[in-house]
Amino acid sequence: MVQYPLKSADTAHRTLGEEAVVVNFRSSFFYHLNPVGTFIWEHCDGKHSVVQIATALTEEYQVTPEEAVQDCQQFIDGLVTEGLLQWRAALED
Amino acid sequence: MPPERELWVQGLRRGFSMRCRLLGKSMAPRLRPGDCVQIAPGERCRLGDIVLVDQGDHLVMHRVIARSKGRIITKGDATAHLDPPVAPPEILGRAVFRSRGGKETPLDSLWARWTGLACCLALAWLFTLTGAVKGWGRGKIGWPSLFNGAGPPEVEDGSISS
Repeated sequence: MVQYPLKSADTAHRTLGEEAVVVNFRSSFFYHLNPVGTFIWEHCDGKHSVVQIATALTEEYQVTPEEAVQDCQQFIDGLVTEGLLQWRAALED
Repeated sequence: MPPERELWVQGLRRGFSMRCRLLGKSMAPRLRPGDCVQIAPGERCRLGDIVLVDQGDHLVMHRVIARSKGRIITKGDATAHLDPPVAPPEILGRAVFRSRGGKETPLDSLWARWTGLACCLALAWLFTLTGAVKGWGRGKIGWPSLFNGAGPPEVEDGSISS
């Protein structure tokens, strides 16, 4: 089943230029994302799968599709572990 | 306002209990620089509570020492002067407990509130008395002069723990 990463309701973010600051309200921890991380974060809207985000990443940055998928998966898994993202199993109409 | 502080305040306004790390010394010895403080959201506060006040470009964490005409009067435990009175909506939350060296100490218990308030007022009296003895005092010695204190408030910045 395809899963779609979605920002947790317990977070908020501000984007300054190409970088973003994300806060997890549950832990009061802040996360500073670099431009690539910010690009991925902004695509985690519950409508894009990891593969779709990776494809968009290859169009924006010079990276092979395999690397993009691997990096996206690793990054998103990390954010899920930190409670910043959650998985949505299917799109809601 | 730095984005971190804006986001942190947003968390309180959305009803989340948030942590912050203190920088200032105006609440010593109860709170010292480096202490981590848990803030419960909301404007409800009691006499002796330590509250977090949004002063626009600063966040100030001081003790409630009185209420007057619907406004709340706060003061740092270690400062000589009162803060400008604030309206309840300006209060973001109250300190619940302090973490220092891995140990957590409650700040909102009856004991903590009343002993804190007593120390805060005793120090204020001492400051007033010392100021008068050294010729610094501009008012009378006693509570009226304390409540007329017009100096700038000490600022307790709430930095963000990360």
